[in-house]
Order: sequence, then C-alpha cells, then structure tokens
Amino acid sequence: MKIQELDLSDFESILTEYKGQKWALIPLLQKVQEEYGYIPPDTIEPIAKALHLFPSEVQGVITFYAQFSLTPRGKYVIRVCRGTACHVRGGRSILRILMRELGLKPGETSEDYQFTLETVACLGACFLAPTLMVNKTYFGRLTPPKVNSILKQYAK
Amino acid sequence: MSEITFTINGNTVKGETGNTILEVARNYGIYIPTLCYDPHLEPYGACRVCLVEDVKRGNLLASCVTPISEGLSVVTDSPRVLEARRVVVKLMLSSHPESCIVCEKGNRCQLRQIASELGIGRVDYYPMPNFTGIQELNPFIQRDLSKCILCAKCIRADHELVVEGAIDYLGRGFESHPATLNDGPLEISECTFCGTCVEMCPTGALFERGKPARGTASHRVATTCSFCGCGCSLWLEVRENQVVGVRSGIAGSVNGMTLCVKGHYGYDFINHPDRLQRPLMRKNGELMESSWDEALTAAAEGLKRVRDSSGGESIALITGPHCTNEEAVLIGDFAHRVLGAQAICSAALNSLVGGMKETVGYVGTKGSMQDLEEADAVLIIGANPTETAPIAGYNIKRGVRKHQSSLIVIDPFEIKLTRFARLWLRVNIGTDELLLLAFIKILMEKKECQKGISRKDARAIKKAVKRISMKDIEQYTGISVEQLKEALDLFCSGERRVIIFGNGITQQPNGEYLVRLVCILGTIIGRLKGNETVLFPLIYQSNAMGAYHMGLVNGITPALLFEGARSGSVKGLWIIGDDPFVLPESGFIEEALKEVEFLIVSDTFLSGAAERADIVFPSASFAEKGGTMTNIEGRVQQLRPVIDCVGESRPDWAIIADVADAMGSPYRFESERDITEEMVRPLPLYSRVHIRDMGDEYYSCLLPRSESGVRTVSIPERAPGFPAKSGEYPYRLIVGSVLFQLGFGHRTAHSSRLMRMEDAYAQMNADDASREEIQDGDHIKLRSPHGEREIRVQVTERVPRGVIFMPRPSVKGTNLASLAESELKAIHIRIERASS
Repeated sequence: MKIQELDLSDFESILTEYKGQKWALIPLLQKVQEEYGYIPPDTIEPIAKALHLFPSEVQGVITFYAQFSLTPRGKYVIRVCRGTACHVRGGRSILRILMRELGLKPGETSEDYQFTLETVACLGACFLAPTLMVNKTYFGRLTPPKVNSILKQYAK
Repeated sequence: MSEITFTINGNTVKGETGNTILEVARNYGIYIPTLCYDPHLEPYGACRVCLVEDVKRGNLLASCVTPISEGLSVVTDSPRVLEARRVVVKLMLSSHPESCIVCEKGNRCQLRQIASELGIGRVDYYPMPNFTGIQELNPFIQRDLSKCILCAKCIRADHELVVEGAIDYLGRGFESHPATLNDGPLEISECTFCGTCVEMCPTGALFERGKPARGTASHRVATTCSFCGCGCSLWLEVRENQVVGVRSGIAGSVNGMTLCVKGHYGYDFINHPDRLQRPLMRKNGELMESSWDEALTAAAEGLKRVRDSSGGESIALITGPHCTNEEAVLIGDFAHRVLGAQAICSAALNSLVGGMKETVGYVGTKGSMQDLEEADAVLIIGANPTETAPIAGYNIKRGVRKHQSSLIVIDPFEIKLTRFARLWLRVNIGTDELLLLAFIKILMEKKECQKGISRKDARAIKKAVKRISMKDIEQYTGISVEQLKEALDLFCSGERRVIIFGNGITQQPNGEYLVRLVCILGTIIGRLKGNETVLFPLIYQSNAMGAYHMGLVNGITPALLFEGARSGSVKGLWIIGDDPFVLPESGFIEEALKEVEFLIVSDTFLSGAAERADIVFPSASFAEKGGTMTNIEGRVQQLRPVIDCVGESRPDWAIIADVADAMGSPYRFESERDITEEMVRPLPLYSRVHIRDMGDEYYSCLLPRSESGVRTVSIPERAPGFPAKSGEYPYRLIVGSVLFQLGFGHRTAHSSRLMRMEDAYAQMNADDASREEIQDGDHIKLRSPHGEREIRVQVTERVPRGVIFMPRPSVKGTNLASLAESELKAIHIRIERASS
C-alpha cells in the first residue's frame, strides 16, 4: 500500500488496459482502489477521458458505492455491524468501545493510517452477533475484552 | 410498429409498441401529473408522482417509464393512486424549506402546483431539511439545493441536451445531490451557463441570478435571438416595457429547450442605461442631443452635399451582420437607388462566397442543424462551434454521445470538441492548404475516386497535387500520412457525412482557395460514396446569410472602404449597427474616419465610431423591431417587436426610410411586413416566406435548397503555400471567439452579466513560455509593426507553439493589425516582457 506519497507511475498502465471501454468503469475503479487503497481524486479526470465519460459521472459512481473511497483509508478497515440482530446483542457498545479506543468517529481514519472505522447496516452474519469485520476477516460473538484483543492484534 | 389497445380510466385508447402509458395518456388529453418527466429527455422514473394503478394486478406503476401492453387497464385517479401521490409529494415537502412566498420560482413551481392539486396544505411529517446553499460567484445561475427534489432534470439536460458533463449526482441516499466535480461552485466546472438546467428545474432549486425584476412577467413574446447565426427561438418575458427574462422551449425551433449563455442571460443589454435615447448631432465639435427632425434633415442634406459634390459612388453604407433581411434589402436599395452609393455588410463572407460559388455553385449549406447530430461522420476544420455557434456545438456533441458519430477535428488548437473527437489532427498553423491537398492527393490515388470526375478536371487536380510530396506534407503539417489516411477512412466510412468549416479557413489570406479545396474534397468523397457530403460553413454572425441573400456581400470589404476613405475616394460613410473600432486595426480606422467628410452612425450604444460621427441615430434593438432573419442553415425566422422602442430610438429600417423621405424619395412603408412583402418576397429564393401567416405562432421557413450541380472540381494553378520562415515578428497572434462575448463584443459588452465573465488575456504555449522565460500570470507586451498591447499571459498546452491566442474582446481597439490584415485570422507579432 502506498499512502503518504502517492506514486502514480503504474496508473497509466492500469488505464491502458481499459481504454475506450465504457462498461469497464467499476472494474477499473476497483483496480485503482486496490492499487492505492483509495481512489485519488486526481485520477478521476484521466479515468473519465480514457473511458469517454464525464468526470462528474465518474465521481457520481465512486460516491454512490460504499466500496469506493476518495480519501486515503487505513491499513485496516474496521466495519462494525449496526444491524438489528447485532443491535439487540450490544452492537452499540462494541462501536462505543472502538470509538473510545481508536479515538475515531465512524468514517474517520487514524493519523497513522493504521485504522479506518466504519459502520455497516448488516454484515449478513447475524448468528454471530454482535459482529465486526477487519478488512476481509470476520469476528463474531464479540465482547469488550475480545474487541480489545482484536485491536491489539492489528495495532502497529 | 404495431397498434396496442388498452384502457385508461375505463376508456379504450390506442398506442404503438414502445409508447409509455404517460405518452398515450397525454395524446388523449388525460392528465397525469409529472415532475421528473420531460418530453425532451429520456424517461427516468425518479419522482413517482406519475403513479397509476394497474387494475388487474393491483400494482402502482410509474406511467412515464411503463410501456403499454395489450389488454392493460389503468386508472389515473383512484383513491389509492391519489393517496400514493400525496405521500410522495409530502415526503418531498418534508425536506423542502417553507419559503414559497419569497421563492423566485413563484407560480411556476411545479411542486407547488402538484401539492395544491392534491390538496396538501400541511405536510404532517417530521421536517428534515436537507442540503445547504452553495456559495457561487457566477453572475448567471444560483443553486439552492434545499429545494432540490432529485428529479435529475438538470443532470439529464446537461448530459443529454447540452452534453457538457458539468454535473452529476454525488453520494447516495439522503446525501445525494447534483454536484460538479469536487462539489465546487459552477464557475470552476465545465459549466457554460447555458441555463438549460434552470429552464427545466421544476422547483426553485435553480434560478437565474441578477434578474432585472422579481416575480412573474406580465406576458411573453416569441422572437428570434439575434446574437449568433444559429437563430434560436426564444420567448422574451416582459414587464412594464422591460425585458425581464428569456425562456426557451418553443416547439419546432432549432434549439428546443437549449440556449447559450448569451441567449439566456445576455438580454440585459436591451434595457441598459447607456442605450442611446435621442439623436445626436455634432455642434461646435461636440455631440449634442437633437430632435429627430433636425437630425434627419441634417443627414439628408449631408448625404446630398457629398453626392452632389463628389458623386454617389463616394458614399458607402456599412451594416453589421445583425440587421434584419428587411433592413439589409432596404439599405441596399437606398444606397443604390437614392444615393448611387455602395452598400455592404461587414460580415467577412467574401472568401466563402467566392470559394463556394465557383465550385459547388451555392453558398451556405444544403444540410441542416439536425444533420450535425444525425450524421455518421463529422469533420471539423478551422471552426470552433462550441464557442461561436453553441447550438451547432450541442448538435455535434449529441451526435457523438447519442449516435456514436465519428468526429474528426482538424485544428492546431485544443478546442472543447477535441475531447469528443475520435481523431484530432493537430495540424501546424497555416498549413491547412497542404493538408487539404494531401487529402485530395490520397483520394485521387484510388481509381474509384476518378470515376465521377471529367478527365480534364482529374488532370487539373492531379497537376495541382503533384507539386506537393508526402514528405513535405508530413514535415510542414506535422501530420503523418498514416494519420491522414486514417482520418479519411474514418470519415468516408460514414454514410451521412458533414464537413464543418469556419473562420479558421475563410479568414486566411488564401481563404477563397481554401474554401474551394474544402468543397472539392467534399465533392470527391461524395462521388466516391455515391451520396453528397454536406458542406456546413459555420457562419456565426446572426444574419450574415440574409445579408448575403440581400446583396450586401459583393466583394467589397470594410477594409477596402476604409482604405478608400484614407485615400479620399470615400467621402461619405454611414455605419449601421457596427463598430469598426473594436477591430485590431482600429488605429488605421481612426485615421480613415478622420478623412471622411460626412459620417453617420446608427447604433444602439455610443460606439467608437459614433463618438467620431457627425450625426448619430439611436437604433432599436432586436427586441424592439420586427422583420425576418436567415440563420446558418438558411432558415428564415421572424423577429417580433417585444417592447416599445427604448427612448426615442427607431428601428434601422425606419431610420433609412426617414432619411430617404427627407431626401425627397419616400418609401411609404408602414411596417417591416410591407418591406417583406414588397422587397424580400419578390426575391425568388424567398418567395415561399409567408410573413402574413406569422401570427403569434412560431414561424420558420427553410429556404429551398440549391439544386445547382457542381460547377467544377478543378484546382486552380497555384504554387503550394509553404509556411513562411519567421522573421522579426516570429509569433502569430490568432484572434478567436469566446463563448461569453459575440465576436468583438459590440453588443454583448453592454450586458453587465456577460461582462463579469470578461477576462483579458493572451494564451501561449508552455514550451514557448519556458524558452522566453515567461510564467503564467506574467504581463507581456505584444508588438506588431503597427502597435502594441500589454496583457496578462496564460501558459497552456491548448495553444500550439509559435502562436499567441487572444479572445476577440481582448484585442478590442488595439492597433496591432493593419488594414491589409483586416478580416485575417493571424497577425504577425513579437513578444516582449512588460516593463512593470
């Protein structure tokens, strides 16, 4: 992951792969996000040009999907489930603990780009409630001590 | 297409496959309310106000997007439908501010109309105000997104009609709203302030800034915009004899819902306080207000004096290209019959007329604006439609986006359309001739191209193209032969093809020859493909075509007349609605006008020429007179007097007629219509124009297309023009049009809103700048052998090397050009660092 100093040297080669193919916007955005951890706003115009779209359209698609971000995100993205099942099992307390421990509000990223805290409507794992995800890993049946140990596991 | 029968509210109705329920309902006059639907846009189905009930299935359907089907039975006003609509509208109102009383939209608000139809007095829901206002500096459009109902009409107008792409939705859910890139103000986006979104917004979320009056206009009158040659139809809204707004959307017009920033917001020049109100006469060296009688008598006497002492041929009348057909024909008749003088229009059309007449036998286009959108292949050479004739630009962009037409742009400059082009040939400046010859040379190498051409012509063409080698072409034009072939193949692959050419071709020193080459190129490709290639000269001045048809384009140029004035052969001059002082050769014009014995100027404002005149007549603007105008595609459209003449001003035709009267040769015309009947309609080309039928309806009449065959495709003997080596003045100053001003800004400069977008600058290439050690924002001095101008520099890649670009309004009144360079695109200059 390249975060602090953005090196866009590979960007052109990503673009070339999809040039002129309007349908390829989402795969292309996913590739850019994978490469840089987010979609640098400066890449919107070249992407639009390559795909014969308007920059505003590209921005519209990026901001529509929760999977895309226009701001740098942490190395580990923590998604706390705020669905009904998790709520009745104490999901709100889990979120509060994370907010206090990380000093972040939902949607924010820590200054050292280690963590991003997010909430989601449902992770689809209600039987494990309350749940959270760190990048692509699920954690269920959470308790305050468990949350703390997860954080320790991913801390720098 | 097959017919489908179904029922609406129990009545049997018929529609065709692909129709929506809403379309059929409207055909039968059945009312269904809508907010996001507009016949000019693709159906969207966002607002859910047009819900109807499917009786058999019990579903609620959005009628604007539901196609009809056999046996369908819908009800438009069942209690369930009405309740659903009420909920939808209440939800919209729950996030809508309660500011209807002071809202700019007033009674035109569709949301308010529908709410009142549905009897919604109180919303009942918990209010959730959304969005905050956006700080904007532009003088045209204000956004208050708290009133936005997310119908996306603005976004769709932007993408589907104007094809600018300035805005789209940002975010999703409750957060989503129409936004520019990075959600900034409009002025730093691609927005051109055409106002189409404002026109279509159903609520008060988008509104016009700086309107001369708040509230509703008392009435509106349909007329024709007189700024550029597109000839848009518009309604002028009037209150207390003042134009307070412009609306688009007249059915059948060339522009439909769209207009450009000039048409939509430039109207404030009409009631500008600086308008000339009374005639002026020079007394003891000063211009003083006088009565009409006094001024008319003096004008008649002055003209008589010059005619009697030096002969009628020493008098000339120059009119600007925005005179009506009636005025043009009257000016010609008055000059020839009463004075024995010459009359011309200042539109620089001579090279176009010469070049087209000689080759294809007609002037103008056989195509239409619609062709620009529907063509399969469009080639643009030396024209910048998005700035000079915006509606033509919209058509081209729509063609690219909707119909996937192949756009080829040949231009040394990066213009807006290069972004839409399949191919952009960045030809070196001044080498269009070589490029066109190269195209013809490549075509002539194909056997099948020679079929339709006589042997004599083929020989002449071959001889002409033999003189240039492909190596020369690559070296001088900067375009490889492969690129040329690719462009030709792409263009020829289109079944319907259009070649658009403009000032970049016609205003070169060899303009007439270049026009010939363009015509020949089009003809050869036409013969190859077996159907005609549409030639579309982009004549951007409003009624230049009409002035040509009325005989005012006759080989004499204004420069020739000013030269005549300097040498003493032109002694009397009457300038009507034009100001030569905005030209870059104004120094020479000043000298010329000093020599003129008797100068009359008719204008709406005190122009540079007017300040030097003996008599100044106040002219009425286009909103104050009737008549007809002929647009870029040869469509005759009507102008209507919308308000009474400002002050004591009179239409130009009336001034001419009054002077003729004072000279003892009265015309006895009551109104413009009499001139149309007696002088315009007798012209064979205009015989189909039925002005008597022009009631309050929109009227237009496409002039009959020329049926004359191609006269010749032979290329005259001429040494190929290789670009000259740079000398003491190594840079070329290219003067071009900008969107916010028309031409040099003779009229648009009096629109205070358009003037707020005025920016005096010169653009230069980044490589040149670094070599000259000039940085963006520096001030430089442009120097020609005749004069100089200090100006701020913008460093950009848009401009090719060796070229300085300046918008026309920025060269206004400079002395950079000589009379010989008048009407030319390029002026040779050098640049110096400004002392400060």
